[in-house]
Amino acid sequence: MTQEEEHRELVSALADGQLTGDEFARALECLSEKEDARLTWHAYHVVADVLRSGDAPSGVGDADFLSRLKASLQKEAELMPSGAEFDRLGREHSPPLEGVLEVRAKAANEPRYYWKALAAVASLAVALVVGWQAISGTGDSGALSKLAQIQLGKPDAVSPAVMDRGESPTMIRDPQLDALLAAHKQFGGTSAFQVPAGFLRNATFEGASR
Amino acid sequence: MKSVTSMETLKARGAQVLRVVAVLLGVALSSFVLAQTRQPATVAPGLAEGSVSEWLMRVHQASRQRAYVGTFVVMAGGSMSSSRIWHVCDGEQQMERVESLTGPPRSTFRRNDLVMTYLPESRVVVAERRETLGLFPNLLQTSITSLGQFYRVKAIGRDRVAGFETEVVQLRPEDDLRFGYRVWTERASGLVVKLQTLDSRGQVLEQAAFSELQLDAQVSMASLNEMMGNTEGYQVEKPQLVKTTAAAEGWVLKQSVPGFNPMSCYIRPGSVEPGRTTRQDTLQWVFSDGLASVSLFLEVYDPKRHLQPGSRALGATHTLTRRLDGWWLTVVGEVPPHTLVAFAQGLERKK
Repeated sequence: MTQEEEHRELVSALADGQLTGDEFARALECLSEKEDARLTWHAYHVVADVLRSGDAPSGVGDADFLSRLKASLQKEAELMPSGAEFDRLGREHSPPLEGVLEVRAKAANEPRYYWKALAAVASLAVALVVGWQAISGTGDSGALSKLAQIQLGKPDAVSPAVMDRGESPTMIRDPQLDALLAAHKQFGGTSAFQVPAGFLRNATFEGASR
Repeated sequence: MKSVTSMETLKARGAQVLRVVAVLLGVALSSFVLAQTRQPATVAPGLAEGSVSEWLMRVHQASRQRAYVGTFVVMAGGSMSSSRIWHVCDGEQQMERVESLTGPPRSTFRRNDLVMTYLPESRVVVAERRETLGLFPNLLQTSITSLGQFYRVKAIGRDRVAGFETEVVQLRPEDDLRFGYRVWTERASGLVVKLQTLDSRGQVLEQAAFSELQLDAQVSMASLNEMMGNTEGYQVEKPQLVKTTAAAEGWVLKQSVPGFNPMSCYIRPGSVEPGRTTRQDTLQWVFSDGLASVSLFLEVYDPKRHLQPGSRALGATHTLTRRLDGWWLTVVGEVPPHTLVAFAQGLERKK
């Protein structure tokens, strides 16, 4: 077994609370000296937090944040993911499935972790299905139509880039050009959308441009 | 050894988890595939066959058949305007009243193709016949049937606008000479309740939508007619447009712009400048691809009035101004700037 594998075994055993006395001291020494041992230790705790809370981890790099999070999670009761959580899982950035599985497989040396890993992965798979169905437009619930809206790419945000080139109504405008614009809008009826949207648009907007 | 056994156990457990996940993903993927192949029955009838013309016909008919009242909001070029709308139809006649809620007060009335615009601040009412409002689907037919060549239509989902369930359709241009659109139609009636114009990157250039809508409202056609015809205290202006053809006026587009067909040509009488005997008229030549329109305005070049060539943008509307020998050309359209350039470059004086 290589040094690396030996360290991993040590960290794994430490995480499971199996070490005492000399072995315990050796494990702590290993953690304080070796960067990769610390990373493994960190990863185990991320997995433990994910399994405990059912949430996707957000600040994987921040060990400090996680230890504080862990403390606050321990104060809360264990909750099953709600319907809203399913939506969030579908939308938020989740860690790549393979990476999570690899870490979970290594930590899954206790029977309860195995079932929790299974539950978390199952909920993620269901969230993905739900998310895809919403995107393909066959869902019906409120959360699903919200997903569809997000897929449409924030339809209510008018491009800010246009504002640079556009004229605000309070600016001094070329009256000759304005007259031609108005003349063009009169004949903007050469559009299949003219009735009603096009006509209404021209009747509404022209006023502000004068 | 303890470590070897636990490694084997870990590997076995890992393999088990992977197998279960593979099964779950397989289930997820197959249900996704099933969802895609199942055609939703209510999404934009006519669209399933991919027929743009049929969908447009339905959309157009919807507005002819329902009475409604609502608040309409337009966002373009960084500014927002809104108006109150009344619409009623008795099978033969369509009437509309548009009261501006932003900017200078303005009341616009429409009865079929007759439009009266009341401007309270100047006590002027402009009365005009906009023949294009009666066009669809007749004169636009050529453009509409060839729409499928230039736009791809696709149902993209559902949404809720002004409290109504809507179906969303995207019209994606097949080339970069025109913009794309997203259209929200009310599910039951097919009435267009929201319309967005999109650029090539999918950015929204302009948006027009009902923020509030009451379908099948009680709207009295008689009282709308009365308001429309009440010109007392107002000076009535009737712009005199002379219908003509571009060829008769000595112009030809030697290089046509794909998708855009010439629709009409008018002479707009100008005013007589002090110290001159001739009138400065403007020629307007209108093109359309069925959804977007482009106007070419031609005037005799006058160095006192025609000062600077240039281009501007306001929402989806772009303009291009340049000198063409003894003429001053202004191209206006809801198209990308380079499409206006294509028109300008293709225009030629015959005589």
